[in-house]
Amino acid sequence: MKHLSPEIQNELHTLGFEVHETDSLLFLEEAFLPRDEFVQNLEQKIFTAPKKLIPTVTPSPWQLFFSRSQALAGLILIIITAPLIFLIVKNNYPVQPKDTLPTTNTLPEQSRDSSSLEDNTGAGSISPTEKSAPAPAATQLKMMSAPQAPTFEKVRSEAAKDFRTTIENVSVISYEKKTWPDACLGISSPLKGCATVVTPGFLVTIQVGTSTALYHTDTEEKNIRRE
Amino acid sequence: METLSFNESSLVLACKKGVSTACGQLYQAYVTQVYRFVYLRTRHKETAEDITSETFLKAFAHFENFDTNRLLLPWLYRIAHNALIDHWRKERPGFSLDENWDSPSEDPTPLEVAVTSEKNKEALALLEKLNPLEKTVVTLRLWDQLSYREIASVTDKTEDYAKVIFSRAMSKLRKQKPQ
Repeated sequence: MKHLSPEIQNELHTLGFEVHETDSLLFLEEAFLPRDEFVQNLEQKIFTAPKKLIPTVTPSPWQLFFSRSQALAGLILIIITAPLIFLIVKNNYPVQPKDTLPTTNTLPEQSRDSSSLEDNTGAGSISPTEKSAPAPAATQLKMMSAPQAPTFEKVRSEAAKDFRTTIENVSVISYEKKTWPDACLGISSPLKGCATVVTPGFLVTIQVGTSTALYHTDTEEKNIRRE
Repeated sequence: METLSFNESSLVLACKKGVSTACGQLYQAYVTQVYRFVYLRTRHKETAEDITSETFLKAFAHFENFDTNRLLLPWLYRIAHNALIDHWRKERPGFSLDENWDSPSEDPTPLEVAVTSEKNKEALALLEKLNPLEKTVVTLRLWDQLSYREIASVTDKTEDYAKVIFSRAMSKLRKQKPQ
């Protein structure tokens, strides 16, 4: 039988009771017991229920804040880096490989003016005087993935000097990719010796008025020679 | 109750962190008391088991809401008390909490009479002389040795009123007790 605490014993004394007078009530407590089977079944039900009833560790507000911030930062990072990754992948795996570029490029009639050049690789027209003009995204991608269409600014400038005219009057009709056998771009001078260095470049056909002329140049237009 | 409080608080903290053995120990510690609390008011074994089950299922499902500064048993009693009210409202749609803080007293069932000793029968008959609220306050005070503050939280009464009820009930018991 349970013993009453001193506090309750004192209270009973104050009320004029002897402690033993409550014995029968305290005995009665032990008469009401649940069935063992019920206790075991309920315990099993609570702790093995499909929906976990015992509490799980709840993340604190700080933990929630940081986990959400990290998720947001990750999302922003993905949004920022996705186009860059796309461009890098595009650069490494170009749509049109270099080998498939045509070696001869003929510019269409309507674009044979001094202000624009049509790149027949499909990259669209490129204005030599407006290099920084915005281009559509697809065009920019092509320009990055394929070799840049030559503008032959220096060739046209050289031709303008040769024909004593302005650069605006000089048009590029066509150009052809060439591998020159020496540093003189295949045009050797009897007075000067040429280093036998294979030099990649172009054979450019220009038009000034009714006249046409052929120019040899390397890829960077550092060396330009008229045929 | 006070002697258990230290161990209880450790177990409560562990249970809140998801240690199932701690939750199991708390269950084992209080299932009998909760069952008894309910049984004394329903006087029906199956109903008492149902409400005891409901009490513990609710308690562990919402254990994160339990204030660790409080004792667990009064909180469990409070859940059991609310479950009892729901039960009585279903049983009797016109049930009024003001008129019937507890279920109406019933005479001991034949099963109780058969299984309890003469001494217990006498005590049970004596207890039944009390009204439901008096019976609850007396059992919470003597059986569970709850403080008046805890009794007040279970019964929705003030501490002072709980003291008055206990005093009045004990006087009634003395008068009713056969000399």
